[in-house]
Amino acid sequence: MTAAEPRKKDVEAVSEVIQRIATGDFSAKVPLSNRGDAFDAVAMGINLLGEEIQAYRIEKEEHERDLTDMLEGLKKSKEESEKARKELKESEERFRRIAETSIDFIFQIDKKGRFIYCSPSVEKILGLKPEEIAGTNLQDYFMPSDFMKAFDRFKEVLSGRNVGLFDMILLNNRGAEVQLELSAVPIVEDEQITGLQGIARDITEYKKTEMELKEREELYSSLTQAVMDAIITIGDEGKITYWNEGAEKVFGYAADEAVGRVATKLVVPEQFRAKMDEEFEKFFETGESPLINTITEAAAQHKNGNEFPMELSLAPVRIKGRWHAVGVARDITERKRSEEELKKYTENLEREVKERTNEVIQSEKMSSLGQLVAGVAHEINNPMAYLKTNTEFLEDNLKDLEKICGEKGQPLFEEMRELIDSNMDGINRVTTITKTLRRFARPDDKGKVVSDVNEGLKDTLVIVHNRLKHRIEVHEEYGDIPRLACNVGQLNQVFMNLIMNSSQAMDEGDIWLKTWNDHENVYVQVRDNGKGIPEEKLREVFNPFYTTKAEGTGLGLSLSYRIVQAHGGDIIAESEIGEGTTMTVKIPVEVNE
Amino acid sequence: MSIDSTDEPITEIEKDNSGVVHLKYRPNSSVTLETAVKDIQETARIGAGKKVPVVVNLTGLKSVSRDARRYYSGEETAKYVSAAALVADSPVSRVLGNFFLGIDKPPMPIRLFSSEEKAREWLTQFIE
Ligand SMILES: Nc1ncnc2c1ncn2[C@@H]1O[C@H](COP(=O)(O)OP(=O)(O)O)[C@@H](O)[C@H]1O
Ligand SMILES: [Mg+2]
Repeated sequence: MTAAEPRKKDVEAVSEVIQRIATGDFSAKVPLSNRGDAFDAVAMGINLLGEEIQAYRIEKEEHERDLTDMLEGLKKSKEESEKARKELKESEERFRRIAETSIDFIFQIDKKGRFIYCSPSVEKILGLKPEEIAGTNLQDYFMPSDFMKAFDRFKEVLSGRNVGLFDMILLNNRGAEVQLELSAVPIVEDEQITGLQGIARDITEYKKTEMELKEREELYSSLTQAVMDAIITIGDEGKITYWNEGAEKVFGYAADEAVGRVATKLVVPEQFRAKMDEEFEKFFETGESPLINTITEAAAQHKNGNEFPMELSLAPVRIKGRWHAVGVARDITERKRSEEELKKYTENLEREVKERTNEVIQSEKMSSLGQLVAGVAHEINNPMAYLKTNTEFLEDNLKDLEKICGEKGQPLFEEMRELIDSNMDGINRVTTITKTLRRFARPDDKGKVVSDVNEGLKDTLVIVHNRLKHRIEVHEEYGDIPRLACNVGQLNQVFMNLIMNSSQAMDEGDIWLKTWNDHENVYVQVRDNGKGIPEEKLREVFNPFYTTKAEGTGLGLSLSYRIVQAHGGDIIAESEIGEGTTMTVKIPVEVNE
Repeated sequence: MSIDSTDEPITEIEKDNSGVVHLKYRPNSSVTLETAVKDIQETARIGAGKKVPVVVNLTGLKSVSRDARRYYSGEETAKYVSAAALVADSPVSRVLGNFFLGIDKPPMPIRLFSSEEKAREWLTQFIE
């Protein structure tokens, strides 16, 4: 058997395996003869091919499986994304539906502020349709004064910060302010903030009501402040719109009588009405008036026709864009009366003080003059009166006696007549002195009388004469001074104090009295060459109870000073130790009291 | 039929003086993936870090499994073997050798020779 002639058995084996491989059974193998011949090689080749095909087949199946898996995955992810898209669309739809039907204004803007989306409610807010707004910039609608504030908020939102609710004011197509309250969040795409979306609510009405409420509150809080006061609000045309219980009491009209009537006609007395009407007219136009925010005293009229003083303050209140006046009026009759009483009381008090002062002055007068003035002068008056009457009687009797006795007793009668004349002279002189004394003291002097100050000074000298004679020489130099409206008794007291002080400052010496005047003042100067007052004491001498004398009261100069002050004048003290003292009383010519 | 490879290795591996490694199988052997992995590990050990040219004598082999074939002409082998010369001196081994060359392009030069001499001669160019 040769290679060219394959054995029938081998051929059958090969064809069977090929058949099986052809039908898909790749595990089929041609058994090798182990002869190592061509048949074995063919068999090996077939076997190996089968293996390769099987491997290829398996690989292909795996590939196909992978591919199917991949396709499956692809399909699935496509479905998923479709679903997500659907959901997104649904939520978008939902959002849009909410946005479209919301009364709130829902919007989206890009980073530059341009509108990407606007809900239809924008028309109610800005007066523009969404399509008119699309592409325009939010900035175009800002109220300029509010711009920076809102702009900052938007910037914060765009930087990813949560700013919560904030306000912004936009201007609508008619230029009116629209107050919005809004919240906004950034729009994030691919981790990038591309703009922001916000929801805004028109709170203009709310704000307005809030304002009105505040105004009303303000009004009422001022109303309740004083229920006893008349509180009236006056609106258009000066008509009363509110009239509280206090007003009923103050003016006598019930609220239903007053409301609706013109305020000025009702409560302002006729003579002031025109002026008030004018003020009100101005107020309602401008909201301003000199009556505003001050308290004015004005005359008011009660229902019963009585006029009474009232205190009035007006405050402007803007209600619904119109000026109203809130008037608070208070009947001050009572207060006026108590003011009057207080004034009277004060006056009484002043008078009492003056009286007391007078008494003190009087007592000083008493102490310095002893019984000299009040006592002696008065006591002397009576005996002097009968001395005079008796002497006159004596004179008459003497005449009768002369007729009876004839010439014989002539020398005796002559002597008696001289004595009677001398007595009469003495009586007259004493009478003059008592008169002077009484004039000097004048404790009953209540007010000022136009008097000659020179005369006063001379009178004073008469009084103190006794204390000065032999010891002190008085030099008098009277100017032609005008008469002064003064309390001459008190001024005499001053002069006496000064003269006495001078006399007490020396054992022997001189006193210079001098009066003069200029346009404004009358000057009375008492100068001495006594021991003088140390410089540092020059002020103190006017203090009450300052004295350097054993029997001194220390009241003389202080009372004198007060008397001069009461005349609007002054006492100027000048002194030099060992040289003397000069006291100058200065009294204004025109005394204002 | 399982042959315990540790006791009775079916492959004889040795390096000749020129540095070529020779793989020879016992007659009538069936080479599996396991044998193939062991052979390449041993070849790597002999190469000691260097790629070596290898002569594989397919004479007397009964069969070589497909995964073993793939392994011999695959990437793992190419790490340690610079070139492979297959020696097939019979029609059967020649068929086998051709299948060794693989359907895909091998990562190292592989050629089929009819004698050891010719194989060694070709391999000398790959000796490092
Ligand atoms: N012309 C004067 N010369 C020296 N001292 C005077 C003179 N006038 C007043 N004084 C001093 O001022 C004091 C107070 O005077 P005054 O108030 O009149 O009280 P009194 O005369 O009772 O002491 C006197 O005690 C005296 O020391
Ligand atoms: Mg005195």
